[in-house]
Amino acid sequence: MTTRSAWRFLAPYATGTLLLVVVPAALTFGYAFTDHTGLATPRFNGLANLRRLTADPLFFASLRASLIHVALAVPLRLLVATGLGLLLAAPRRGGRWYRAAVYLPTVIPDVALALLFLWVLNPLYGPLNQVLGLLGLPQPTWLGTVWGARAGVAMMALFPIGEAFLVVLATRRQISPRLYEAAALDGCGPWQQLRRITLPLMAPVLVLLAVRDTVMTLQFNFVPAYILTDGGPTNATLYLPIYIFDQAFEFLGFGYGAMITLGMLAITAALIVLQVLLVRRWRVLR
Amino acid sequence: MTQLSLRQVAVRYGDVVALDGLDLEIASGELLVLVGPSGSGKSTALRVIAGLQRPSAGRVLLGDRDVTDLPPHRRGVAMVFQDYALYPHLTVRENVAFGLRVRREPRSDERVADAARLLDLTDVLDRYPDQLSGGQQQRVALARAMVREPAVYLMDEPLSNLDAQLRLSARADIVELHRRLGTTTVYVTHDQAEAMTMGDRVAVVADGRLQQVGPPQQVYDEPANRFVAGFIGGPQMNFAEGGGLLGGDAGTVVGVRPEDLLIDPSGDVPLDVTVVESLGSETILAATANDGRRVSVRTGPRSPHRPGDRITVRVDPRRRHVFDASTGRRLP
Repeated sequence: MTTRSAWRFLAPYATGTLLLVVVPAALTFGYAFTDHTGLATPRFNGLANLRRLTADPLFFASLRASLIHVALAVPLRLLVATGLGLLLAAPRRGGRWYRAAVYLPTVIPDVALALLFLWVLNPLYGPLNQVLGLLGLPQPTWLGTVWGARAGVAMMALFPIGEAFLVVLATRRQISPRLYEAAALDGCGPWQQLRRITLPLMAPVLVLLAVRDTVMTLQFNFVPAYILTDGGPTNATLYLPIYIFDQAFEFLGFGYGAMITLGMLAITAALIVLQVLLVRRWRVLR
Repeated sequence: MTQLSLRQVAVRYGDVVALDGLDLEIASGELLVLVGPSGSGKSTALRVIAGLQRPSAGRVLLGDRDVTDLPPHRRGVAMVFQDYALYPHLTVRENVAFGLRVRREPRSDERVADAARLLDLTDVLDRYPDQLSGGQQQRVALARAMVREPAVYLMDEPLSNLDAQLRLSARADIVELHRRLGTTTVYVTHDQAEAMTMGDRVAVVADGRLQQVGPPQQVYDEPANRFVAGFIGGPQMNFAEGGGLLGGDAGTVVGVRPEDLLIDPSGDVPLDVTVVESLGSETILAATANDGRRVSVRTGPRSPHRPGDRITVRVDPRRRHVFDASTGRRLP
């Protein structure tokens, strides 16, 4: 195939990327240094938005909410996806049904899942509290308390894990059964095999999933927070995307919203760099 | 040094019978080659000895210990796999030391260094498996088995992934290693040359059953049944019904190896040469008999015969094998 025809095949996708990603990203970058409201012609206002950002207590509340959510949801999501992936990778009777069941919540639209969780977490008639009650455990008013709301949103994030689950499943199945036999002969029980064979061999993929999930979790918590908590209580779930939406569309501050977006981009980048450094430091990859 | 016994070992997967009452005695310090076609159950037998496969019936004895119910690592066996099964995320050093680390055995560094020296791996100890040649990977697999100082080595076609030349030298290395260590070894292969040259004895397995066991030359010279006669030796032994091309009585099958058909103008079996394969040191003539049967004749190098030639051969009467036509068993 010639380079020219290759470009022709790339053109539709390149056009989409240009119009839907590159141009908006460039506009966002530009708007971040203006007083753009969507009503009047935007005017350049230098670093005014940045100064406002660094003095905005709500931004820091929002950042805190987002980081707590990432710290809660990412490890738990990875743990559940990896655990279920490893558990269901082995061929077993009815395995395909279990695998389908794990994947299923991923195809449910966010809004539907959020509405479902509104019911699940209802302190009076929600099934979660009923079960807790039956077990004699405390029944929190989930979405009414700061940590209850945070936990509730994180809990909801534990269900759409189908993609990571599939990746773990596929990666685990790539590992030669011969290695486990060799390890068994070398004296490894199931836990030793997990620790010495499975996890090290899956490390590159797990690192990738962790980085990807951090990015995703920072961004795709808009719907649950909007429907479940609307940022409350006391801004405990005012995640950055919500705050950006509020600033840009509710208060018509496109310029300031763009600046918060840049801030979020910087924080995402910083988190990824941190992860990569930890991976190097702990010699997770060979 | 440990003697190894399989007593009536059976392995069934549903309706499929992989091993059907296999009996095998392997003497202490012996190198026994287990040979058979694919699906014969030879690898299954090895996995049963290793403890990677539970037999449906029968016992495995190591020395005077019944190890049938022991997990793999408590049996004192080490296995070398066909694909080597090296841990890709560990260096050669860590691969070899793996078992020692897991069991917290003493002097691990020393033992790794010794094995590396013996197998010429000292220079590559800090490399990863994917940075090694096939021959080096194979030696790492051997080293990993060796450092454990096992009572029995189990080798599952360890040379089949090497190219022809390397296979030859690796074969000699393994025999030499066995001679030096004197450890009981079971070596599975489907390779004729390995079966004939490596073992003290060779055990032929087919359909999950032991067909014959004995010194290679004896198995070659006196195959116990028609299967062994046809399986051991290449090109295959020529067969004809008794009373036909190769003589003999009715109700029997007569077999003659290609080298025991002697080209002789006064011979009594006329053949039409169809293909001449010159292997340098010998020549294989593929020919057709009067009854349409294909016959191979092995003769010396630089054969004057060409496709289309008519030759006559005679059968060396001392080298004629007679089998019962219905049971396939060797008749005296």
